Amino acid sequence: MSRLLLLALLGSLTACTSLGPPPESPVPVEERDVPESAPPGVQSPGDRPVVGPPLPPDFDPDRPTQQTPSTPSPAASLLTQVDSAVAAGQLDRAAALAERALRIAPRDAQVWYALANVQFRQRRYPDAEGSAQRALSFARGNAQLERSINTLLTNIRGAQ
Amino acid sequence: MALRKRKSSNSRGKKSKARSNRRRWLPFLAALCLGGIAAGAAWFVWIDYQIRRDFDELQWALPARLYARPVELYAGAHLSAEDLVTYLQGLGYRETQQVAGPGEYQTRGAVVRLQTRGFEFWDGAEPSVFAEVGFSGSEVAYMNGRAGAEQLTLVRLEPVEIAQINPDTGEDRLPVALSDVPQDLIDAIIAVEDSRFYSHYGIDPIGIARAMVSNVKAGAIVQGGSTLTQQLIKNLYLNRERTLHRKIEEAGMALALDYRFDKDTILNAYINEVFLGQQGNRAIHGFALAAQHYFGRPLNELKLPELATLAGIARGASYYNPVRNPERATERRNVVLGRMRTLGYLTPEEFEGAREAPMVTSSKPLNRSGYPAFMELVYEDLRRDYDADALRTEGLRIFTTLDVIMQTKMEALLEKSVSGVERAREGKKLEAAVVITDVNSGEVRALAGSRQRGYTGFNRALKARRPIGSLVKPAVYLTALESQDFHLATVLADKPVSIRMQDGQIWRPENYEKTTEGDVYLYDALQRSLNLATVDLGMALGVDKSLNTLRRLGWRGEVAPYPSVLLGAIEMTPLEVTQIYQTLAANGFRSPLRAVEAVSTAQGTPLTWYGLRTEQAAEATPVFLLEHAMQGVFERGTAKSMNPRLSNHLPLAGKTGTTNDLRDSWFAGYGSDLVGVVWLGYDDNTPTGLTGATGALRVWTDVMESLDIQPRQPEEPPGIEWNQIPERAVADPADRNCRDTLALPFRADSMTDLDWSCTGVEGFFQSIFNRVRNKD
Repeated sequence: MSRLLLLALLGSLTACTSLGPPPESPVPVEERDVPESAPPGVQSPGDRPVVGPPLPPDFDPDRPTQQTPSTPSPAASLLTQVDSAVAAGQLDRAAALAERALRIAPRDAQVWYALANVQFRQRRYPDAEGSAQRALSFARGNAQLERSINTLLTNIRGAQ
Repeated sequence: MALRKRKSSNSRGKKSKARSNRRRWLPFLAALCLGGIAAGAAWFVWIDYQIRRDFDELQWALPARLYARPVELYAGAHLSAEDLVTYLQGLGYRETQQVAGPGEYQTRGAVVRLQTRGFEFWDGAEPSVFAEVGFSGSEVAYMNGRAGAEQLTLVRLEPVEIAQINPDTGEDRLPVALSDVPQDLIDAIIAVEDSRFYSHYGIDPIGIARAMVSNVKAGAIVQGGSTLTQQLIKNLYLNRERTLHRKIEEAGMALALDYRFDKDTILNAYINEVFLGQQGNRAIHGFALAAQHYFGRPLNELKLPELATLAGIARGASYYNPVRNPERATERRNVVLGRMRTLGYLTPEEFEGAREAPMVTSSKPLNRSGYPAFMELVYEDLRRDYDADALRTEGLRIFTTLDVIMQTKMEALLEKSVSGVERAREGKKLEAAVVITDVNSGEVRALAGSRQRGYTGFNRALKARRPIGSLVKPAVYLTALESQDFHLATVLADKPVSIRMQDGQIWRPENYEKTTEGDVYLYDALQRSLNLATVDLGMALGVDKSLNTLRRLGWRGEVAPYPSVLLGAIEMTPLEVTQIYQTLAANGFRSPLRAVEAVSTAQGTPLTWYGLRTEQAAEATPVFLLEHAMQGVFERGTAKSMNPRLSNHLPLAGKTGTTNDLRDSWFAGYGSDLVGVVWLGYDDNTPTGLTGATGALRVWTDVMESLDIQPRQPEEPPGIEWNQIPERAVADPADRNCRDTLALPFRADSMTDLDWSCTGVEGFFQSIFNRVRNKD
């Protein structure tokens, strides 16, 4: 849970500092689940080039701005919203947001973990357990996240 | 108005009484008058009551609307510029030179600029935003908002409406608040239908007289005398009777309506109620739906010429249909514009500009019954929670999982792809079913119940129950790999076998090619789909064990555990097969397939949400090992014929399936994003002449290549060790030949009995050397 809070904090900081210099490292979710050598053609959120090709000359250059590479990943921005929805007691909405994030980053352990957390709060224990196990299957090499997921699994099994 | 009328009747009665000088008629006349007054008053009270009751409770039966999954835009999204433009056109977006408002887009090569319309999703509102989207091939490379606006990381477009469930009346409408109706439309309606709307009392004698004069002058009916209020009454009570009694009743009701309700309420009801067209058995009511129907865009995006056209249609929806009779509709529009000009609603410039505008109607009317096979699945899902009446009348919004881009691509090639593999048969058509789901969530993305696009008959994806043949084998091999006694290099006997059945008959299975392969590795028996080796394995495990595995993977049927089950003598629909492969594709996590994500009210309040459910059905390690063999199906096994075509997409995992006498041709396969199952066969169950590889696999490849299926990324679970084993399987470890070896994954705890490992027999470099040499 503390990671989610941290995530929310970082998310809001990123939002607050969007006019200032880009933060050194993006929100944590972006960096997870990027395999050392992803097979060609496989996408991971967060490792995309965010600066596109030059605009054609007849495009009005003044209106849009090229964004800085500090843009938070879409999955991370959704996870920030998950936290807000949980805080507001909108658990269905929180779960739906987490599922939206999963569609964007289906192999992101952090997103599965967020979904499992919401499902646990919804008292959907079998689903929460399944999601937490899937989180675990993608969390290899991230000892801290593995610990958090295992704690959650213990809580889920205790509640059932 | 009702009260006023009552008072005036009263005073008239008094006057008649004053004028009367025939005293002896007085009691009789008085009685008659009082009786008449009482009857008139009673009648009016009744009319007034009716109007109040009906109008206060005015709630239209609204059809349920079904939406496809919305496209989400973000850097890295798997989407091409072409796909996005097709999607926007499906939503009725207009291409412009400069994006100035919602529902407009502009393209230049690999860059698309657009402004979304915003949408009330069940889980929250999506605002209207401007976005510039840059593409790199079939991927979004970047996305920018407007300068100075907040950063744009994720934009959810409006969903495409794919169908609706209409009320019994066939009436369809999109109720809209008066504040959301463009002023030009209000002006146009008032100008052409009822210019004294704001000053009359529901009926308009002056208007009637004026209309009569105009009509006589023109020698035709150019203006009607009935007010908007009267027209509303006519529409609401749906009585086309033209009797005097009816006219009087309508007039009374119009007076009552005008007395009881303010002008804006009446105008608003008129705008939502009026009949404006017919499409099959669906009646188009109200201007907001008419805007979508004729122009493919929401009301607030229409300009003066289009709004004037709509106002003109009210007079005769079929006669002035701008799609079918553009010239007549243009003429009528110009009459409306002329009235607006005369009444001072338009400047001469505005009038001229609009009058010259070409009539551009929607080139692509939204396809409302375009996905009948998928819709059938949606209805099955919905029926559990909603009764038919609620679906037809309450204006529910149903958010489905259909991906219109995928569905369109699949449909576009299916017919051609199936005829490409079909062996011509007199008077018969090879049929097909395709199911495509999301690996991760089990959401159904696309579905075909026939080779024919839009086919509304027998839905083979949901209803055709056929033997699955070798598609069952992964369940048998998974059962083996889950036990400690088997691994990928277990040597199986692919040799003739006779099994005595319970009824005393002898079962003698054969390999497809009637050959026997002798000693084979377990992984090889699966990738080459060897029947005899599979029977050898399955009988050692016990048939019921394999059936249990099938159930864990998501099958819900019942069958007696005959040995022939091991070779797929078990009937399933393509959808049921997909559920099983879905679980394998999700590394052993079973998620029920679903076609509906959520249901909300017409206002967007969520009612039901069908969230993602997932449960571990099989351990990660045996599923990982099984997948290694199933990737081999494309590398070296029964699907290797498609290997060159799929080279950009491999590794993929899959399995061919063929049934007795080639009656069914199956292929089930998956990448990291999609699961796809294809079935081919005849409805009368006669032989197709096709194996899984020569039929369904080719169609599967056509479909998946066009959907750009993504390679598998198997997550290696802890406790896997890779080992060199002799390339050739031998029953006795002492005979093993470690000159030619290959690497296979094993669970570490199964290594102890791996007598024929070559790891350690030769050095690591030797093994690399061997592999390099083998490639030459």
